[in-house]
Amino acid sequence: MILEISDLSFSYPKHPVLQNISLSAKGGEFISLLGNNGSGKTTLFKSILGLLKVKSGSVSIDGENLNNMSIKERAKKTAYIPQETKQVFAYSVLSQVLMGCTANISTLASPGEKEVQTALDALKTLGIEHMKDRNINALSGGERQLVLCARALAGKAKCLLFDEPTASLDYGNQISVLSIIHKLTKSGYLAIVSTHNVEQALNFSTRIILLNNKQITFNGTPEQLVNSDILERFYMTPLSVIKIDERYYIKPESI
Amino acid sequence: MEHGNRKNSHVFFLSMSLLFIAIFFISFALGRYPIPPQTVLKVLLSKIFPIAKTWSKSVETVIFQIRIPRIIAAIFIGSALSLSGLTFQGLFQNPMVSPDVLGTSNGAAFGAAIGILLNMHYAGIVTTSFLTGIGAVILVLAIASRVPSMPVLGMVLSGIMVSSLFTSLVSFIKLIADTQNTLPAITYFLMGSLSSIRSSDTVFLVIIITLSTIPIILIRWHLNVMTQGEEEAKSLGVNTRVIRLIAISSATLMTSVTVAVAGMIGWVGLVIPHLTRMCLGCDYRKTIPGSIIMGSTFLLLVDTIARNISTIEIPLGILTSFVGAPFFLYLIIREGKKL
Repeated sequence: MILEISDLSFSYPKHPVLQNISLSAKGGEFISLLGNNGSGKTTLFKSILGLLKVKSGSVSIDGENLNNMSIKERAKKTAYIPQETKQVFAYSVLSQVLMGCTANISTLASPGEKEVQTALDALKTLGIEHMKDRNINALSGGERQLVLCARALAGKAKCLLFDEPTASLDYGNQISVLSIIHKLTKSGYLAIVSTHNVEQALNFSTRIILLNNKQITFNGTPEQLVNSDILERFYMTPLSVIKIDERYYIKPESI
Repeated sequence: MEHGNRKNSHVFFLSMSLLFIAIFFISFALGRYPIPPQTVLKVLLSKIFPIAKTWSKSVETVIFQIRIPRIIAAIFIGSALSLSGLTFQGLFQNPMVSPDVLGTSNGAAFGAAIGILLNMHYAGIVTTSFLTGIGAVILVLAIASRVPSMPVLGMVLSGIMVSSLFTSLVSFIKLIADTQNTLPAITYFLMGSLSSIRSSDTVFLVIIITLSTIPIILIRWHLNVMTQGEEEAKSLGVNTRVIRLIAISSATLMTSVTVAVAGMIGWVGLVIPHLTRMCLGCDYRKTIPGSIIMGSTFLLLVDTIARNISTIEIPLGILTSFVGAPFFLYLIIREGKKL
């Protein structure tokens, strides 16, 4: 699977958000998307998902332009995993995951046996099939994030966009969610993960993209990022990155 | 809200059906012309099977000309109001909205009042009340979209504002209405009552409500996905614009027709969907049939009480407010804690 973004620009009235973004990614990659609040991470996701009409440029998957696809067709190509929150209407885990199959059934139909099996398989892939009958709001934040991840898998899209999946989780749950994303990329999915956690980005991703001032200012491996002074300049604070046992640790120099 | 499992939902549908049948026969047995259940059953069955007549002609007249139209009207109105509340709540991810909170009922009442003022026939009254009803919903949504920081309360507050706007417009119509005929007609109709219902009203009601219920049943799964919010639903492959159009117009149409025929019967659309979700969970595949049966049983019960509690008939709207207003306060307190 190949995702190709070329020369993508988007602006709200009088307020450009993305300018000439070009990016190519393929199945198996774990890409972390770093950037300050308002740097356009969410807008980039929405453009890939087709939720926003892009001003110029194109997004394509395996050579097919997403701009020309119907909402259903697009949902079969890309999936969005929102940040977990408590829900207004609390469904069971299985119903929640079944919602991922919506693109594969007609507008007037309900999911059948086949879709239920797909949803159960997705839960099994993430090792949470025992939760299927539980109320989504009764789960922990990390469990809920995994359910949203299972929902994305049930839709069978290969390009997964994670919106700050670990932001509201405790350390243990952060690691379990990240390991699941890691496992998924090993089996051929493309994961693009927006995050504010630089250490996490350095240690889990195969590639890091830094979005700043409407443009991509860095696009490379964690190692390339560590060997440059980009992080210091970007966060405007002196820091050094230490590597111990193949893992990166960030040491702020101002404290 | 607990997720109801399969066994729970069987118990729910079985007990609601039994309750419905019981209230159905009780509503015949009570009233100015009480008819015992066995006679009702015999008279009803005599239309299908050859049963010897042991009852008077007047009993048959009461059953077929007075009670049945009214009972069927109560059933369909209860179902329509509950279903439209259920639809609106999921569509706007807001458990505190209903046709009355969103201004649909008041909007529709204004249209119906215009229709009565202009001496229109049913179809005319329903059309004007549908148009003003949907106008009210659009107005509320437009205002609420300007306060994205508090989506739940913003919608409730703008609904209250739009409702009061339409209430004033209705008052204006009353002011210019003919005091001999039109004014009493409008006033009585606004209180919400089934006492003057006729067979032709019921036929009309049944047709429109059935026609507007079918689309909602058909999009039941997509309504589930809509509860995830506009953008998530879209990313899951839902054509949100189409689903919203189908859901809002069907829910508004069924509300408008109840307003046009029976006036303002408030709160049913808020209370029943909540009770249904408490028993069955959130899945529209269960809550749609659930709120249809619970809503119709509830309104049939309320109408039976309205007919029998005192010598003069109490308008339904008054009775439903006794239940609905405290329930709404309870929701404000419960939801307020979450906001």
